[in-house]
Amino acid sequence: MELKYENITKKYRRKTALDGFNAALHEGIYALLGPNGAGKSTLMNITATLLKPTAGSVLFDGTDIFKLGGEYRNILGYLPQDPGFYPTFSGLEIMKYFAELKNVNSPQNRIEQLLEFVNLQDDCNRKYKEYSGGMKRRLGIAVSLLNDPKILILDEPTAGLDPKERVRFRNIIGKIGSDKIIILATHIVSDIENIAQGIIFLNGGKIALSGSVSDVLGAISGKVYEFKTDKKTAEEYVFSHPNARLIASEENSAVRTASDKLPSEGAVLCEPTLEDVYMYLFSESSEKEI
Amino acid sequence: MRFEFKKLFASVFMWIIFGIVLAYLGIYIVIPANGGKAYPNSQHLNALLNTLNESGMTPDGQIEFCRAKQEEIQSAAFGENRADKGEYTNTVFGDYILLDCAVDVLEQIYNEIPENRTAIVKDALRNIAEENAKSEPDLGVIRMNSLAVKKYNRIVECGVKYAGHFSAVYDVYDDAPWDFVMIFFTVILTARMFTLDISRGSFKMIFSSKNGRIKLFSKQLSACFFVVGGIILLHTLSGIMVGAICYGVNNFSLPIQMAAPFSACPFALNLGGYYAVRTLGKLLFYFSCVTFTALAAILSKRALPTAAAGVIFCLAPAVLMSRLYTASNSEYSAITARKALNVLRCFVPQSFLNIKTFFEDFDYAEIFGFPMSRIICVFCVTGILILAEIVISARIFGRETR
Amino acid sequence: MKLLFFEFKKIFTKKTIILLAVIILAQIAVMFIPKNYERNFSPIIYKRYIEELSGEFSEEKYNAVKARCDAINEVLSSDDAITAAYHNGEITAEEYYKHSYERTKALNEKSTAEYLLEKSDYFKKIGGGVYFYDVDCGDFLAENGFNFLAAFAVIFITIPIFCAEYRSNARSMLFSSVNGTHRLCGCKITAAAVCAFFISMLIFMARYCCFCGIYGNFGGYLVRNIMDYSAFGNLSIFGYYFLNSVIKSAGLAVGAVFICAVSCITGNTLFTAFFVSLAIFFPAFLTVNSQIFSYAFLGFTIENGYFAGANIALIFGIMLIKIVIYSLICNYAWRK
Repeated sequence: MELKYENITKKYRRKTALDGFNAALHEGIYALLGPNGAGKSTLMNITATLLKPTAGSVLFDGTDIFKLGGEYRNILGYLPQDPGFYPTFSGLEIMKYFAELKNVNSPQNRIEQLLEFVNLQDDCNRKYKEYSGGMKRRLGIAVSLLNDPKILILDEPTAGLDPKERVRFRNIIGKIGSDKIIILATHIVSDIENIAQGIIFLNGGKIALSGSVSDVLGAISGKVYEFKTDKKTAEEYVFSHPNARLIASEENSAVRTASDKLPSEGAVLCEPTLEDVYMYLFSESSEKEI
Repeated sequence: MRFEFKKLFASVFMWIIFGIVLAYLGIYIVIPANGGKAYPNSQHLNALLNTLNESGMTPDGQIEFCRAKQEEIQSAAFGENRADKGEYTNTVFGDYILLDCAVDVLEQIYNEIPENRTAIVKDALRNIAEENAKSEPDLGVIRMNSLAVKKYNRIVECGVKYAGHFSAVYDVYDDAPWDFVMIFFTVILTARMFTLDISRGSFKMIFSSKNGRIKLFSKQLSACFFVVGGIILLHTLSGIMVGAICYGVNNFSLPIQMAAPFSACPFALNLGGYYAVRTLGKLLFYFSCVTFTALAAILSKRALPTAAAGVIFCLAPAVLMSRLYTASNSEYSAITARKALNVLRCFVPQSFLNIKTFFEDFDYAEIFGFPMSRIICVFCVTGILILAEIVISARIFGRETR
Repeated sequence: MKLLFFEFKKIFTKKTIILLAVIILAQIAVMFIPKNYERNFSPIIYKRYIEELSGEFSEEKYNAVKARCDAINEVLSSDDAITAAYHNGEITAEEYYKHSYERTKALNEKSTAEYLLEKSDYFKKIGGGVYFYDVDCGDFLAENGFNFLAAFAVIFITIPIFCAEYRSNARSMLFSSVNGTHRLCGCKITAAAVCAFFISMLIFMARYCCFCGIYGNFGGYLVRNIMDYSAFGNLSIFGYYFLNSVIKSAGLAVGAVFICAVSCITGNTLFTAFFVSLAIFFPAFLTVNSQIFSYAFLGFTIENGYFAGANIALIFGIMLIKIVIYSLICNYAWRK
């Protein structure tokens, strides 16, 4: 199974949201990371056939997804940031409604299965407006899995969730990721650190960096430093270096930064994390060479 | 407030709606402009009246003069030479019509106005005398009739001038379809103004500070007042201009009694004053629509229920009053319908949609034992309603939301 | 079918049902408002005459009415002569008072008798009829113009069908589903049209039932027994009202599809409310007496319904064409 993006470009009136995006995705979990306005949602919408690209094509197993039409949407699952479910419907009714929309065979069994999978079987008869944020999100995942999609697109799925829900979500996605192409757009790095096979950093509609986790970490290997200093100096440094962050303690402050050159006397090299890569790529003033 | 306008008119559809309202307003300039041709030229008429006034003839003499001229035209083979050049206008037929109008004006100024007022005063004095003769006189009746005597027992300085075809102007400009369109527009505009932030979710940010909330409320309300008030003023201005150009209503210092429908008006008001009062009344009515819709929006936080509530509040009383007005002309239910109508006219802002009825005769009511003009009453009630709605809305809007 | 069921479920929330109940109650309440129309005859005297004449029209009844009219005219025309005779002493005071009584009675009954003669002439012209107290029926049918409550109900219930999806941003999830575009759009339009039709019929029938409850059931009589309704053949009063209601309800159903199209174009509740209100309500304020308008424009169809000389097939044909056009526009805008 392959989902291939060939030179995808999307232009709005004054802005280019995507500029020559190329990628080939196979089974696994792919994280799309980037700041606001990077083009993540645009890419999600194009993949979900909600938007047509200005140029380029998206091919699923060699066929343009816009030409596949209904056939493609049959194998697609999409969960937007705000799914807009109906507040007066119960969780079960929403599942039944979308099962009908997605032409699911034997929907009853599938619905029961999924509700159990996302741990909503006891709350399925409550109205959607009574659900907590986490429950809403879990219901959204269940709905997007109704038609057993081969391609699953999740747009900011953990936005607004508490840490417990975010862990639960990671476990669910981790379980189903092996035989599907899952594209996860987020800017919460910790959510995908341990589950994503591939990471694509988007910035200004272009790929800033892509590869497996080890590849992207390796890209800034030897560039991540930590140094200790007094609180005032640390705050001044962080203020003047957007890609640095404060690791505060009661008396001494420490600064962690990704930089091409030694940031301060006494700075020590550290193992990079995805967050370091994010800060390194998307800060305004860093000198980046990848 | 600039940002509120920008928010309001961010959508192209709002501009389309605004355009529809302005285009409809344009119809009120074109139609009357064409209709005005059916009436005699006011300049010619005023010139004739001036000539008559300076001639030194008595009032009856002036009327007789005009009638004699009309007979002259009629007897001089009228049908054959009606297109010939006339003495006062371009055609003989035009002269005939002009003289006819002049007779009507002179009759009104010299006879109808003073006679009607005298009759009203006499009736009032008789009612007072009859009431005083009773063993238990009704003081309310005496007060009301005494007020009528006071109002009507004065000379109205008419002057021999033509006030214009005033009835034609307000027939066109006090038009129900225009008010319906304007009510819909006002409700939609206000509902959009006050539900836009809520629908976008931006209210969560705006509502974080109390001062921010009150300030926002006042700006949003002002923006709505500005747009609605602007259109009403434009409507009034176009009415004044078309009235002046096409119907000869251009002398605003003339007493209101000189306009035919208002010959029995008790107020010492001129035509300009009438226009001012009428405009103020309309503004107050539409402002009350804005404040009510704003209150509905703040309470319901949803666009459609707000629009529905706004339309019902603004239209239902108007429809009811219209029905009662029809029933008050029926022989079966005139009395009860008139009573109900008169009560409503004291308290309901929709009375301003038909404001001329307050000026047609002695329209007073006894409020807490005091005779009060119904128009003053409805002005006060509407003003209080508007203020109350603003205060309640501001309080709810300014309250912290969870 | 399941999708359609869910669309109906979305439409008929608790609030909607309460609103419908309020509208129906308002419709019933309106029926109780006393109406006093200016008539050129006295309904009380008319009722008395009708009770004497009730039943099928016959030549005898016609002659009786004509005789009564002639008698009334004779009394009134002889008034001057009798007054003069009294003044001249040719008749006694008792005879004069008797004549005065007859004269007063004649004056009171003149307009009603003339109206009854006009009605009898009408029955003669159309070849028969039934005398019954048709004043209330006539008023009921005359008031059967544009039903603002039904239009308001349809607008209020139909607008959220598409606008709610735009407001809640549910479109993206719907569009990513295989049936979320054409089929869902079709289901929504069908649900809108069906709801609008049945809600309108419910309101119209509530009005009729209320009328029957207050004034009695005259539905079995032929509608042509009421003057001005001769063009409706052998339809009963109920049949005529029912057909009229069906056409108006179908018109409102077309209006519902129009609302769906406008909703998809504007994507906003308030703008949709303004444009559809203008398109549907505004024609009710125009006094245009043209059959073409009744066929072509929704507002007039909803006002006039089944008018004299109407071609029902043409009315429904035009409605069908409108439904198709509006549905296509709606579908196109929904997918944009």
